[in-house]
Amino acid sequence: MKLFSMSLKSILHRRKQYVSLMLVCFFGVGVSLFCLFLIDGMLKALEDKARVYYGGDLQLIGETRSLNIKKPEEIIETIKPVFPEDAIISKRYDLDADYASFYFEGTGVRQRVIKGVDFEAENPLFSTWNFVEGEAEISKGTDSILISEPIARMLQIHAGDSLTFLYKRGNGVINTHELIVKGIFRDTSLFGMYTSYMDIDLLAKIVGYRSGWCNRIVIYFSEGTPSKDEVNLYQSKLEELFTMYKLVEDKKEFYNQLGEIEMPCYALIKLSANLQDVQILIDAMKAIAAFIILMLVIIIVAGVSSTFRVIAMKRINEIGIYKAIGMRRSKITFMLMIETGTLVFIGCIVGFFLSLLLSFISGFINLSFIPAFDIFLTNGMLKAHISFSYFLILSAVVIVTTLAAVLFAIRKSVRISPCEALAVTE
Amino acid sequence: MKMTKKLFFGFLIFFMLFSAHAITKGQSETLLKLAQDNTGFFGTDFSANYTVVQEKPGEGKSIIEAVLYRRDKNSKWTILITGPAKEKGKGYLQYDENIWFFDPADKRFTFTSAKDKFQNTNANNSDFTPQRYYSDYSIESYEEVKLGNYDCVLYELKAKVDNVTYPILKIWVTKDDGLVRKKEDYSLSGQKLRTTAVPQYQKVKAPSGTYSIPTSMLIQDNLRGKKIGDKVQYEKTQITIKNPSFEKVSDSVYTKPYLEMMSGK
Repeated sequence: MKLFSMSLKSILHRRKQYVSLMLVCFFGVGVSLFCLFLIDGMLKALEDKARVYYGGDLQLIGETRSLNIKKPEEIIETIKPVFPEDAIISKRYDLDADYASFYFEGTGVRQRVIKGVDFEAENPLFSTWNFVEGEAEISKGTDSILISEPIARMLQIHAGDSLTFLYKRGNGVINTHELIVKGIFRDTSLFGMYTSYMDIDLLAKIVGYRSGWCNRIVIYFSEGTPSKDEVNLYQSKLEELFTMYKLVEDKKEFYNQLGEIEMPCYALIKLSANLQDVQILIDAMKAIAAFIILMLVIIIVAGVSSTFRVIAMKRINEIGIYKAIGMRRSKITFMLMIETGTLVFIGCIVGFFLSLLLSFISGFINLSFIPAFDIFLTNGMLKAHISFSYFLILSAVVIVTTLAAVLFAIRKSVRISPCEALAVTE
Repeated sequence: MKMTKKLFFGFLIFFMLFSAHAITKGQSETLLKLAQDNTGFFGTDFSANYTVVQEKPGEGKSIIEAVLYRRDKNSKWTILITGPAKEKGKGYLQYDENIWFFDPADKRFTFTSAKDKFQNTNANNSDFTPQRYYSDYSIESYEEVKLGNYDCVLYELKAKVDNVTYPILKIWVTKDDGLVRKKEDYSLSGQKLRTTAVPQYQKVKAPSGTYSIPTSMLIQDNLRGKKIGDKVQYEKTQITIKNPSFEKVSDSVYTKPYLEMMSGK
């Protein structure tokens, strides 16, 4: 207790010297945490968009080499007991729309993906969307479609208008269908911009695949993405019901094996396995964040330890007195560690508040003008994801590494004999 | 009784008069086959200069000049684009059921399809080849109609094979010569996608006979266009055919090296 009070008194007495130390720690931790919160927020935005795009957190695909599931209702009933009661399980048909276009008053726009969806089952998922016009209340079999805001702008179309959907079937035969724009959703990301959603049965009718079929069953967890252990549990339970392919980190691994696997076989695809196409981007972001944080921690550690070494050298007289009155080296070291630790800890706390402020400010900056960056934005803004655990981990790392560095830096000063210490003039 | 007899003979005369001009099913099929045959030149080579003018509302006109060579008996044809300067040297080649597009900029042949658009106009690559109205389509209905001054039979055709672009066609064929005067292309759901009008034909003599070649064709797209003011104006493409010839051309014309060689000139 005495040591603590001595350390605090020393801090207060030398506060002017310690201000720069604290500022280094304050900015370093603040900016590091802000980077972490921001990256986390961006990845969460990406994940949220991916969840919407892929229909949930997990997908069940397979059964045939062409990935057509012929009796999805039966499969859904069979797998329902595997997942939590509030999980939304529904069928989808994802159509690669290489030969699909929308036309409205002469203007044509290509599409990348058309998703056939069971809107009644997936209503809770679509209710989370941001609609600029209309809504997602599409009844079964109706001639309605949801399109993205950029597509609506290109076509100069509004909710309630009718567009022509042109599609070239596999054999090259052209089919068209008039669709009413039921809703226009806000999404300019890679996922949503050239993606449209319509009733799954209507899509079958237009495109010409067998009605009732689908090419994936999607599972959405309202509580959030399941953990690795939970996914493993689901996989093992599904293995009791079907022939299952092993869990993969990239869905292409399953696709590449389709010719070799004996059918029927299914694969449970995690959201992350679907995101391999953007994994490079995610890895790059994480690498940049890690680099920035590492640099800042090094700056903090180097700055604090070198400054404290100088301070310790300047206090050599004081150290000599402590030794002369019988204080042991370990206690002197401990006292100096307490000073350092307290300073760094305060710096971390204040840095945390700085990160909160920066996160709040960044939420007002609209970055949707940056091409293809919308994938990381929430309603066009950068939204940081605050995590107290990140603060605890970073603070622990900074405190421990700084203390270790300071310990190393001051060891020479502390080892000095009382006579030598007292002989030094400050 | 007298009244009944009068009525009976009246109906009989009316029926005979009417039926004298009514086309039978057999006659309609014969006429359709003639219409198909008129689009092909199976006994000879064919070549001509084509001018393709596309009008996009609000964007003005673009003009492409090309030379077309056809050898229908071998299902081969070559289109060499001769103008404008930035398009010169590009070409299309069909042989062995495949269609290739050549771009002299990268000196590469890329695979294309008869169903693809010709140089991003409203014409398809298949518009330059023999049409298969009789072979690929069945007659859903036919009726005699007047199209301007022409006495035509209006056919509604439905595809009976899978590899057609337009599953439903309506064609107006003149009764006396079996030439297609107007064609409407429809999607599977019955939506009109294109309208092609052939206002005039030119008769050209060849060693194997006399052929009728369209002098011009006007294709209107019924989907692509632009809204100008309150009205939607659709894209149009006019194809003019000049200097048709039925002289035999060298076999090398229907080869890739020919296109490569001509692109360098």
